[in-house]
Amino acid sequence: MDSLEENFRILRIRVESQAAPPAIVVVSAAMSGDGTTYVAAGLARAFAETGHRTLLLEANAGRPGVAESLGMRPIPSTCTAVGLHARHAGVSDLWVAALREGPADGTMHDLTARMRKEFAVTVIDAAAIPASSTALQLAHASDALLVAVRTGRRACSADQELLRLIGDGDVRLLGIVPTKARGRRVLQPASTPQLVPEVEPPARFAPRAGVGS
Amino acid sequence: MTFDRFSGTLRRQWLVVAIVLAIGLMAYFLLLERMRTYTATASILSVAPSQNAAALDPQKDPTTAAVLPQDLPSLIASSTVVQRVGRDLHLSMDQTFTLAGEVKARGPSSSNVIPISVTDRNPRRAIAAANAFSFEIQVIEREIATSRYGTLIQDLQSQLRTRRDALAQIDSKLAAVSAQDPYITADAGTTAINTQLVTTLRQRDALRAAMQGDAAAAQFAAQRPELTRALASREIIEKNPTFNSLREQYGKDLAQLNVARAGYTDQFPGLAGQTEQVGREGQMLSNLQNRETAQLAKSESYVAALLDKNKADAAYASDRAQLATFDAVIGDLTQHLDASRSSGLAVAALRREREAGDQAYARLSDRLANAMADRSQAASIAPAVVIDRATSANPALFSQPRVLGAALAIAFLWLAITLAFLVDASDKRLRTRTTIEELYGSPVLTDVG
Repeated sequence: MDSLEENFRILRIRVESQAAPPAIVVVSAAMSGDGTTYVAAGLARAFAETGHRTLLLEANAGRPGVAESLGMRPIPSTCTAVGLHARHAGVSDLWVAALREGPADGTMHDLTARMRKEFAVTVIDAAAIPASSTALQLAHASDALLVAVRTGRRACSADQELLRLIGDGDVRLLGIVPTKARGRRVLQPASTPQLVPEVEPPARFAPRAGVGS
Repeated sequence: MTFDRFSGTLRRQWLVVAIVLAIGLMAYFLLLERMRTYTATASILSVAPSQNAAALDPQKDPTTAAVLPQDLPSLIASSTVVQRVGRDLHLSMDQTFTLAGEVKARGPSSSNVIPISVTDRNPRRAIAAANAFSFEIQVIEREIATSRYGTLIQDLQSQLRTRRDALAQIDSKLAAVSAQDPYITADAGTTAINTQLVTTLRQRDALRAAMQGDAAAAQFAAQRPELTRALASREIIEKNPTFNSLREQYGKDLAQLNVARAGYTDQFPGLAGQTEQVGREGQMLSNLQNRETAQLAKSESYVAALLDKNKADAAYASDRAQLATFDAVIGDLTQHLDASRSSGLAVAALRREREAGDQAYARLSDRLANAMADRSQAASIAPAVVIDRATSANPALFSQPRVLGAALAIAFLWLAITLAFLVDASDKRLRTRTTIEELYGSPVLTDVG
């Protein structure tokens, strides 16, 4: 079994144990290029492979890469609080959407509510929090925050800034996910899920047809 | 430290570990070639001198060693011995310098046997060098043992030269005086002069006695011609037939005259004629006699008398000449004797000085002979003896591939681990789970790198 997939499954289990569906998990970082897209995509696919209806929301307008990491066509930035406009990613129970700009004032709650309503798990690929207020907003609105850290880089002031920003607000930092690669990494095509989902998703989170674009 | 952290550190610093191990591998092959050395050992036995014998003391027993055994290692590694060995082995200057670092000698502990080890990449040269060192240490120790006499011998030879020069100067002074007066400088010259003077005086006295006889003989011989003159005249006349016939005629005529005179008177007419004839014949006889006797050389007796007179005169003249010679010799000897009284003191001083110089020279010669004998004795008794020549060369421990490989593996593995941990400790990057957790204060969920 691929150890990388296994690592994502472990990550999924640990996240799931801390944030039960319907959950919104934000993957952010202190610096751009620390591998948030890679972690978010891997985690989302791990959730989807267990049968959770999973939305992978690309909220990193400055550095979009979800579609590339999943081997898809570019995802149009049509996600709003009114409609998520998710599209199927070709993997069972995995949907993708893109949020080009931050939600308008007062619509964050609606947006997250819609996510919780329509998906068991929403994994948001956010930009670096010190550099993006949208990412910070999403972190505040999420159930858990995962911070991707590229190993091998030096600690910098951005790390301290990230800690200061999430410490000031009510952000639940679930943990750190070290990554190694610098630059874009493409996930391997999804294999047949080998693991039986530990928790059977609730019926209300069962996949529904017609959702998304 | 857990094994995971240990292995994690090595994994992170694998490049450092790889580089160090690669260097170690190269070092192995390099050293395997360069450290392929062989060690040959020769042993010498050095007998320690007695504690009371001071080193380099010429007065001490020449059979004792001049070099203490504990000094031999330093002596062996000295440049003097190394250069001699290099010369023996026909080594270049660089090879000789290298040889200096390849020789080792261990000082005596409880034994007087001192091993001399030479390590070289060439086993034959190691053997040759070990044997050369043992040989040269013998030679140089013998030289040191004999060198203490060398200075003394040189000093004695210098003193002998000085003495010879001084004696030569004295001899030249004596030669100069001898040129002026041989008698003065001759050995026992005064005695010789006196002896010769006495002898000469005796000879002169004898000559004088003989000369008196010769003088008497000469005086007698001088009278003999006068004494023999009449006899010689008569002898001449008697041997003259004319004179004899004339005298016979004169006698006859005179007899006739006397007869005539006896028988006749003066008026006898023939008497005058006879008288005149007798007178004439007498005159003729007288004239003839005078003429003949004027030539005394015709007389043998007279001639013999003259010869005797001349001989006596000659003998007397010879005696006088000899006497004059003796007088001259005596005068000369007396003069030398007088001269020796004035310059004899200086000559005697020179002779005394020369005798003293001879004695001093003899003493110095004796000391030189003793010193040379001591040196020969010291040279003949070797303080250091080679008891074991090097016949084989053993490979050095680190020239064995397995030992070298094991040693280098241990060393470079330790170095690699140490360097890996040092580099890792100095690395401030976010590389480990621990550093990340410490930075964010949150756990690392999993590593998806």
